[in-house]
Amino acid sequence: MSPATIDRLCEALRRRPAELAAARAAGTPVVGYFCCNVPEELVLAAGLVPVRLGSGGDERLVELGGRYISHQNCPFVRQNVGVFARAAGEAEGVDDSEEGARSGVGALRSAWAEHVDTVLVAATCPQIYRLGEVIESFFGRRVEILGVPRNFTSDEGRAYFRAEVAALADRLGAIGGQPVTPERLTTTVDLLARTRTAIRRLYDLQAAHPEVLSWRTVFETVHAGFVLDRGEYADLLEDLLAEATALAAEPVAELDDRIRLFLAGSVISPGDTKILDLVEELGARIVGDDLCTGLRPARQLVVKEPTLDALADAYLDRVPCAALPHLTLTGDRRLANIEASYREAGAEGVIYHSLRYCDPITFKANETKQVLGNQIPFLEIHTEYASSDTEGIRTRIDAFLEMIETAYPPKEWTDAAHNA
Amino acid sequence: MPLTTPDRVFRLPEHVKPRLDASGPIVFSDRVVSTDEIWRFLTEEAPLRFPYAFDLSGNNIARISEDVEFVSGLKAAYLTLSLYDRIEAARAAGRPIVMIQGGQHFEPYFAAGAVPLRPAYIYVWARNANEGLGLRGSDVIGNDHLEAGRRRISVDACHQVGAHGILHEGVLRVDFVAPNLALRCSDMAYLTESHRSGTHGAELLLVDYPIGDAVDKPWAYQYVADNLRRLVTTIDARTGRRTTDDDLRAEIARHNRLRRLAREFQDAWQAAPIPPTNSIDRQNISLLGNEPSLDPTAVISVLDSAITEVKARAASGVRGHGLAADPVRLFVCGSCVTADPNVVDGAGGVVVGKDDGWSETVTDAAEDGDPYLGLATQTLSWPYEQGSQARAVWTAEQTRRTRSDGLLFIYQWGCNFQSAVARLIADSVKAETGLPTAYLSSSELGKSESLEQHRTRVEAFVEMLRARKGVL
Amino acid sequence: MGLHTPALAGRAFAGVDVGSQSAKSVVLIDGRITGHALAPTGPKPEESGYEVLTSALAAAGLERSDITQVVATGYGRVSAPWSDATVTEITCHATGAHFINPRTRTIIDIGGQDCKVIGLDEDGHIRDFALNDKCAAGTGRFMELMSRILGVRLEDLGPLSLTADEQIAISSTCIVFAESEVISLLARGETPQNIIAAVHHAVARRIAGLLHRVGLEQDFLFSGGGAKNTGLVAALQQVLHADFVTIPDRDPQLLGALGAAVLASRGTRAERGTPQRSARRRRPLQASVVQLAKEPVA
Repeated sequence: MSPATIDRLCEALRRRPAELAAARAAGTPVVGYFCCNVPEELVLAAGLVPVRLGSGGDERLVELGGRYISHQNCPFVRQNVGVFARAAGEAEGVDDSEEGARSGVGALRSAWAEHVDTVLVAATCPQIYRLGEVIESFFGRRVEILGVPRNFTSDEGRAYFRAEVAALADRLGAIGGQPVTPERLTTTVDLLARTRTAIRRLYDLQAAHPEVLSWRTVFETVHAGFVLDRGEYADLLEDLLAEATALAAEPVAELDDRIRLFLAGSVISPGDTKILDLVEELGARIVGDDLCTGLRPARQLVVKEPTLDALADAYLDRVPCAALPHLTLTGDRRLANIEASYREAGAEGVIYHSLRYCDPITFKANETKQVLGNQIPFLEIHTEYASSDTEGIRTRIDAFLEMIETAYPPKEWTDAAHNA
Repeated sequence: MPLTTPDRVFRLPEHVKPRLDASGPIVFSDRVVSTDEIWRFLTEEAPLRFPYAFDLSGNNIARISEDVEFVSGLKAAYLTLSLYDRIEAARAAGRPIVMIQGGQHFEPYFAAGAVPLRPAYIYVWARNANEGLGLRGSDVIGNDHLEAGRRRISVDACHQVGAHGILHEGVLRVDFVAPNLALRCSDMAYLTESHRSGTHGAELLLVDYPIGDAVDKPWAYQYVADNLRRLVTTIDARTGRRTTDDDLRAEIARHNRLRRLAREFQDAWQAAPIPPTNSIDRQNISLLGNEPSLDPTAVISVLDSAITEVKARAASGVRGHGLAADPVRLFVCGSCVTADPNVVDGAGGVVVGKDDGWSETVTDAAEDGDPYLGLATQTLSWPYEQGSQARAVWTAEQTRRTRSDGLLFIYQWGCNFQSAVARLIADSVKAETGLPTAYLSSSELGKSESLEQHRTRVEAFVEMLRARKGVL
Repeated sequence: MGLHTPALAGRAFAGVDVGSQSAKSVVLIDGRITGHALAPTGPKPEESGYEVLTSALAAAGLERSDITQVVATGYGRVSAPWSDATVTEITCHATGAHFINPRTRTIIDIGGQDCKVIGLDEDGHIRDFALNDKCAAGTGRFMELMSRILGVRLEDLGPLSLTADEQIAISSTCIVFAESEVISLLARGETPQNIIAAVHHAVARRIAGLLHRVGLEQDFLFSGGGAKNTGLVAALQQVLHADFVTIPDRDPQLLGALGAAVLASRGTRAERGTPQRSARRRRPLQASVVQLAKEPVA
């Protein structure tokens, strides 16, 4: 039985393109953005409509994008160049008749790009910065860059990012936003804090009660929040949480004893279901993640006061993206977060997934394995969106599950979420 | 005169010696190396210790220029071949060794008494620790280092990972891995981080480069300046000395002079109606504008003599050795690699410029005021490190300035940051100038066994330019 | 023909490994190999698997009905209706290696399209494993390509490479690089033996990279078609400074099928780690609920 609120989420998603069109017609610009280091609070406080961009899993869009950027860029970047190419009517020679019509994916993904006035890129990952340059040059999009310091734990990095966030507030004004007042900022900070809290609780709930909510449902619910009206979305999340909590109180007929996996690594975007599908087909389940399109942005983000400086600090002080180097192992919050989230979710193994040419995740795979793999069963998967390696990955995941079953005894069911 | 021996080994003919003598010694900051000593080193010692460098096989991309009459080219070769001994001497004298990035500035390291080495020099250092290597032996060692780095980090990394592999494997030790990031390379930050779980104990530090247009962002300049100051105080903490702002200003002045000389060389070369040197000599001398080779004073000395020589050649209409009668002029841009100059020359072209390496010499840093802010301002103005639209505009200007007949954007395996804008820049330059442009990827340049594909592509482009000019 | 005796009930088991290039089968009676077979995989893996099983049964003088349980493994396991259970080749190799030599801690397997390194604990359980990326450098297919380019028969690559007289650097990064380097070398008149030796070294380094991820622990067992290549064995021993155990008196390609047969023989015990576990794990799929990516937009 799935919660009825999910139907309302789907309905809201269907309505959304028309809403965006209406907002733009009424003179409210839509800001599409890449990367979770864009402080959405600020976009909202400026009275603009934020849409987090980025889709995955469509080899045809990857190929289309590769015509403008290079084949040595990660498939996420290539695909999203392809999204903007298609939105610009540059899809000649891309077959999107059959497969596209069946899944409707192309239509949906292009739809968000079509509804965007300005593209805002947080320069966390240098390749995503390049994505911004390419869509600006080839498709005439207005692109704004938010600088993100690589020395993000230093005082000078903090001073720089604070200044960047303050400058962004001004630039949002220049593209049609209102001045950001402490009152407006307070409202949006509170709103997004509610959203993040609800997401964390939904994650806890799916780990303990898969019969009510699957990880995939929660993951996709997070993605719905990239595009929906943020106020409506917060309400829907809280309704979903209340409904799911009530359902979870009912007795369970059969204990779910599938192997519990944790998913870490490169971005997994709407439409990219290769690994999720295989894990489910092989009879295991995912219980947690450290993905920037999943739980990670909802963790450890605390805006201490309604000021731009405090907002900048909150983004710098949370769990960082792997694209930001940390020069000591000690104090690396990325690694610490993987381990903590893994334990909280009561997982039995980590699938560390790297997209081809996603350098930060790929280059760190070996080290991450050395740090975590001593205590935690660890499977590294290096893949693209093309389906050609699906069987090879199936074998790897299947063997990993066999390894967990034989070498690691079943875990006692001890996580706090379940006991609650 | 062409110098060809049956076994294709480079040897200096005696008649060149008076020319070398006439050009004067190389003046290092702490000593003077006479032309007799340069001659002895290049004819006796170096051929025994580093035979690979004297191999004139067509597949040796780093072979010595055969234009023996251009004695400044010999002096540049002396700087490169004496590198190993000079690094070891600096190390023995207690100077900290710092791995940096190619195409960044050097002043803070020199001011703090350190020895900055870019990845290519780490390679040279590690290779030349083995004496007697032929071309093939040099390849085997280089490949071992490359693969050690890739094994540890990723096969998707560009070939600078080999220099990091050298450190990881403990082949050589450095005191710091402390590069400036710049907007040229996305691997360097991750590769620097990789040393945190290494066992070699080098101290790590990054001087960040704020991504995005820095114009009108005083905080971006301040950020880089603060990073640079942290770099110098970190090196000072190791050496126990205190580097003053005046020390840094003096170093800036020395490097400004070096950059001015590199520009003067370039201007003289470009002004000549007939290319006065072959591609490899133009490239090696130009690169000195941002490669102080452990001793900026020595490089100033070599640049001085190169300017004199190239002006004399331009005045008397000498054509660079090995060039066709009417070579097509090729501008190269892209990653920190270039078209094999020997291939270009052999196909009837000449490489007249390269964006990387040149970009760093076009602006000077202020010699007064806060030197850290001065360096930050200079770095953030380098055209190669700008957003790609601005970089394309500058690149188009350079093709005009160098009277280029075509532009090649070359990116190497693993360089996803440069490859991302290959089409963008090639298309923009074409739209702006009408020149034929092309972009191509090169696999393992610098390794002599993989040149054929590169050769075919470069030759085909040069042939196309020649056909277009009606000289084919 | 077959024994068809009730006395064989619960005593005879078979494993079938349908790989990308070849299909292998092993029959065990009372834990002893009594029959085996090896044949190229045809275009229909389902039939190839059944045929090789039939051949192995014939070699053992048995029929399908004599066999208590058959376990299928390898890429063809997904279409093996004649089997009772399927297990991945990773687990099968581990089981086979432990069966042959309980001191095995590291398996290196070079198959047709994969090369894999598997780390074992003292109980024969998989501690860790790593497979090559999508790139085929270091696999049987790569060696086949090289033999074609060089005009040398596959089985001659090993002996020929041992006569090399000079070391050449060839990239192990990527099959395309390696291929272009080999073609460059040929164009310059390099001898085939030196090139082949360099290719073996490149493959050995590639495997060393996988070993780096799993960890080096003796005893090593080298299996798969690659283990038949003496030149590759020599290169690996040189790169790893280690000796290998191979399968005594058997084709090293049989390891996966042997492991599958051993797992089949344990299959009567319903516990974790036996073929029955897959039934426990299999659950109906949960439909995607939000269907973010699937809802058409007006």
